[in-house]
Amino acid sequence: MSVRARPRHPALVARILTAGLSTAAAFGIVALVARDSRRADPAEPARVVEVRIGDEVGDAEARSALEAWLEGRTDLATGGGLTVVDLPADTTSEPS
Amino acid sequence: MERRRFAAMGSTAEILVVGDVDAAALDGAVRRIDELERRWSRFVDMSEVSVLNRSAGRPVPVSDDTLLLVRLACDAWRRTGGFFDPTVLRAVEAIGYTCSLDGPVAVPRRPRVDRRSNRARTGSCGEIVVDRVDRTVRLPEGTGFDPGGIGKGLAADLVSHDLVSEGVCGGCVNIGGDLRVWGPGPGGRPWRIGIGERTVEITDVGVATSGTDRRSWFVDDDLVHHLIDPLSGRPTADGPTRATVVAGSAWRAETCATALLAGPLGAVDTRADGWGVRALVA
Repeated sequence: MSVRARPRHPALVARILTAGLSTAAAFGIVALVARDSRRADPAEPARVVEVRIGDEVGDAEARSALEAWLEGRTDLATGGGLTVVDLPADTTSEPS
Repeated sequence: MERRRFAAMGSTAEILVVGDVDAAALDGAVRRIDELERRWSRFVDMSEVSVLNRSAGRPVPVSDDTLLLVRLACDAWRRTGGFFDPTVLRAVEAIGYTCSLDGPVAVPRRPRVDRRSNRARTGSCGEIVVDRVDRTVRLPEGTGFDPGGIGKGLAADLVSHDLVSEGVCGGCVNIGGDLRVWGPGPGGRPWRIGIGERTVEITDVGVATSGTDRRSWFVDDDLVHHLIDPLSGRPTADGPTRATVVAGSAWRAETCATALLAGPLGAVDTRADGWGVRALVA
């Protein structure tokens, strides 16, 4: 013969379950509202991330361009670069 | 062509641009040179280089400009096999170069010489720590950093880069004879640069001239100059008196010109070829 345990206070258990489900639903609604509110205001987190990434790419490109500028032409030892002329100069290079 | 001429970095600076250029861009270029001088001059007490020199042995936070200055100086030291050495400052000071020597001609003078500083170290460039993450520079103890052989050229490069970014299609930034040209010159022709008795036409390069006949003075009846041989720690004696270098950029031209004076005359062309630059010596 089997013995099944019966809940001693079925009404109390039902109330606890109902309250739990209501609380979970409430949290869910709050979470959805919060998510929608973030979507509705894209100027907040999304813009910050986007700007930061954009700046990093821009900085890297700027650094790369500056490094290339600071290196300059590399063909001078092979004959490029200057021609001697008998004409007035625009400016001069004197010892500094 | 528009031209701005003004005093900067203990010398005369010129900015030349072709085409229709906004005056604000030129004003900005002049301000930028002034900013770099205030950061780099060893004769400005609170410049970053002065603070660095007073703090040898510990890391010092510096601006990106100064980080670049020191990094490229160390790079030039390696590229020239040590003939360009920015750590000769104490030797320069020991022979009396402790104040700005302005003017286009040699200024004879009898400076106060601190003979104790002859003990100072040179040739320690390889021990400089440039931390690009923390943005600090640490000089080895007893060492001083002398921006004199690179600062004007690098300033010309940085300012010309700014002007290119502003849309200036052709120009020349010349700081005390260390210059950078880009794009077409007046009338669309190459830029013409006077070097001694010669004029050369150049395009998109840097040019610099170093000489032992500028910034010289008397010490105990001996005429000395500011270019130090890193090996001896004394003013150069056996090399050429003037060297002009054409390189890809002005900072490279300036460091190579300085390095060419710090060695034997006969090896000039060989060394210049090895560094990938063109040299004209006297």
